[in-house]
Amino acid sequence: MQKLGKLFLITLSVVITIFFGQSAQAELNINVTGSQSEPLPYAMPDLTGTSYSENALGEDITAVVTADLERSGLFRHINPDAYIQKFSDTNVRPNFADWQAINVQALIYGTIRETNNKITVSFRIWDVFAQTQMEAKSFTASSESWRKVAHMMADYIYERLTGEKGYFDTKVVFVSERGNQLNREKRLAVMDQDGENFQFLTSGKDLVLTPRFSPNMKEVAYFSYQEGKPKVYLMNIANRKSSLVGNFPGMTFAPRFSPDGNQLIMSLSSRGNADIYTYNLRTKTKMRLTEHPSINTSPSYSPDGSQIVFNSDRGGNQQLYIMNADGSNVHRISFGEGTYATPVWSPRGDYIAFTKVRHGEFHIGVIKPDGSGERLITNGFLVESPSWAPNGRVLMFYRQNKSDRNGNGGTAKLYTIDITGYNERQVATPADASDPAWSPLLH
Amino acid sequence: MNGLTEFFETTTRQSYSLGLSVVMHAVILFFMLFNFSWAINDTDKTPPAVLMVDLTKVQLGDKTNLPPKAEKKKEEPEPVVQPQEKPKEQPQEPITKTPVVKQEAPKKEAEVKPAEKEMPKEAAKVVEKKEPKVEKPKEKPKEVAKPKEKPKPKPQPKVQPKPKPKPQPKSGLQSLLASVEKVKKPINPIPKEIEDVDESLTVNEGIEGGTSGSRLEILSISEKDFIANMIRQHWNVNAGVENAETMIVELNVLLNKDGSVKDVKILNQKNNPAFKSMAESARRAIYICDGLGEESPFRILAKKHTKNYNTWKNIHLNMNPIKGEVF
Repeated sequence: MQKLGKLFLITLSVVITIFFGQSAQAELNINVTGSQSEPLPYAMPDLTGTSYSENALGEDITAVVTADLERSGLFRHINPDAYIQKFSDTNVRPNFADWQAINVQALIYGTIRETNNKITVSFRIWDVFAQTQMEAKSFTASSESWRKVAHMMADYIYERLTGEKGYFDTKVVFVSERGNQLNREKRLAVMDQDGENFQFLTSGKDLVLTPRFSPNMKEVAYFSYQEGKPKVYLMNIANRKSSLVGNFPGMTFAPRFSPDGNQLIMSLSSRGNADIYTYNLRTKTKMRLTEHPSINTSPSYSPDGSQIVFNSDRGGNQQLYIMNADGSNVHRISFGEGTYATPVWSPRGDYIAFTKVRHGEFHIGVIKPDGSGERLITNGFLVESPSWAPNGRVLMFYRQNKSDRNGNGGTAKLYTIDITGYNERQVATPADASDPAWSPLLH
Repeated sequence: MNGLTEFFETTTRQSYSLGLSVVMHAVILFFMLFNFSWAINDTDKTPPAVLMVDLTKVQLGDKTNLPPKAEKKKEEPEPVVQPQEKPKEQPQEPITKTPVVKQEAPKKEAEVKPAEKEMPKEAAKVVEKKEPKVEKPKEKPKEVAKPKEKPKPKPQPKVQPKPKPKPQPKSGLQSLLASVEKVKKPINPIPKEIEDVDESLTVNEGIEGGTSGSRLEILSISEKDFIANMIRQHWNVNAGVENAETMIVELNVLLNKDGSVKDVKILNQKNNPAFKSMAESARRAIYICDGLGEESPFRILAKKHTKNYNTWKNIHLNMNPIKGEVF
């Protein structure tokens, strides 16, 4: 009977658990479909120091960081005048109600210390509404490279809040232009992505076009008429010395590096035809990838180096094609109206940017490698030479206006645009600029 | 002989315990079947006969799911099949033909139609999944009287749009990917239409009791929609994230009795930083809603269903920034 009693009790407890558990564990299910996409409102008080010079440097760094974030179009800096709480230490916990009151969603604050010509920046990122710390980070560098520290800080914040790699600690190599269109001076130049630290790489004596950074940032490949030969050259950025690439029989142009930096891929034009070749920079050997009685040019590697996108008029008009890195399996991916040119594979791998000419107007667009999802994101009289930011999220290109018969006008400027087609912005350059190429992330 | 007696003794013991086991299982079965739902929820006891009421006069805004479900389940098998097909097509026609009484209704209806045309693949998927829900409301009318079928579809669309239109964000992810001109296939071809379609579907869900409907669920579909829309309005995501359309964030929201948020947990954490950012923005949206004070959808919920705290204190959210075909 005792056993029976125990059994009954157990059964009863099971039944009770089932019965009452049902109500206790009841869960309301709701599906939410759709969202907003507006710049994230954030607050970032100036980095605070313990001396006048530290505070001044803190202000400068904060200004660079907020400018970087603002330029991305994904962030909105809340006016510091509205800040209620003041910080002097990164260990102070935010008064979240104060920040929620002015609709701040992310709060970044930190300190700067300078000792022996070295600066240390420490900061925290807070989720104001969840009232949690998202991240704490510290950077140390020489005082002279404070701008780099600021860009690294912006990259870190960008990455933590968007989930994507940043692109602020980068450089851009491009063609700086000056003078009448009929006798234009074109020089290679390099600068930070925000237009700072501008430097010329060439004298302007020879025409230069289509510069490209090597993946390790030590060299620039470009097309030039120097030495009287219109060919692809390679410049060592450190000593500014350049050399001819390969010993090709005709005109080489449209160079790009392979992702591992060992190969240079380019077009070779001879006898009215153009085909694609690679040149191995280590072994000094060349290999022909296309062999077709048509124009094949503008090759660009996929980020994993296994495929190449290029344009060709083999189908009647200029369209985009993809082939394997060894030249096999050529197939067409674009079928739209107009002509397609200068394809560039995104570092992210999901899109190929291109230039399209249709009805006498230029467009810049993106298309997926399988040929789907074509979307034109900007247009103009002349928009050309799209180049991806290292995170594959932003494109830089140049926009040129029409010039008159005498070669006046025709200003050319660099622009960036988000892959979504929004947030087109001009990039500050000291003179006219064209043919931009974005560097990889520098840190 | 000893062996024989032992045998009989063991068999009697076995049959005794077997019988006991059967009885106990029966008891468990009894409790599982009848569940005492009457003891938990008083409001559920509304008489089933009321279902015969003319649907044209029914307002679906407040409670739509509970009573109908219980009755429908019993009647389901026979009448269901044919009526289902009709209702799907019918509701669209009457909408366009009759500009009708309420001004809001025709506008919303007009939006829904083009969406269905343009987005055959995805929309079709969604519709198919949720079809069975749509059917049920229509079944009722048939039983009452055949001629009444036509008027029935009208009232449904009218009622549903009321709560939805307000929350619909203009600047949702729909408009995030700009194009200089309309190209063949934009990245997010039809997000706006998808939302419209989803809404109409969710409305129908409500009539049946919703996807997750249970006898314990006391929220109407319009109340659920209201909460979903409030969250959507405050969910700010990074539009260009790779594969954003495939990301679904699952949150568990624990509420206090006054509707304030006690805790929010991200249920499907992943290593992908883009997903992590998306999930955090979803969690932030809940807290922002909570920060609305009396306007918080959760507080409004708490006020309206004070006595049923157990049914809404624990909310499971499936959140997709662009479309919800996975749901």
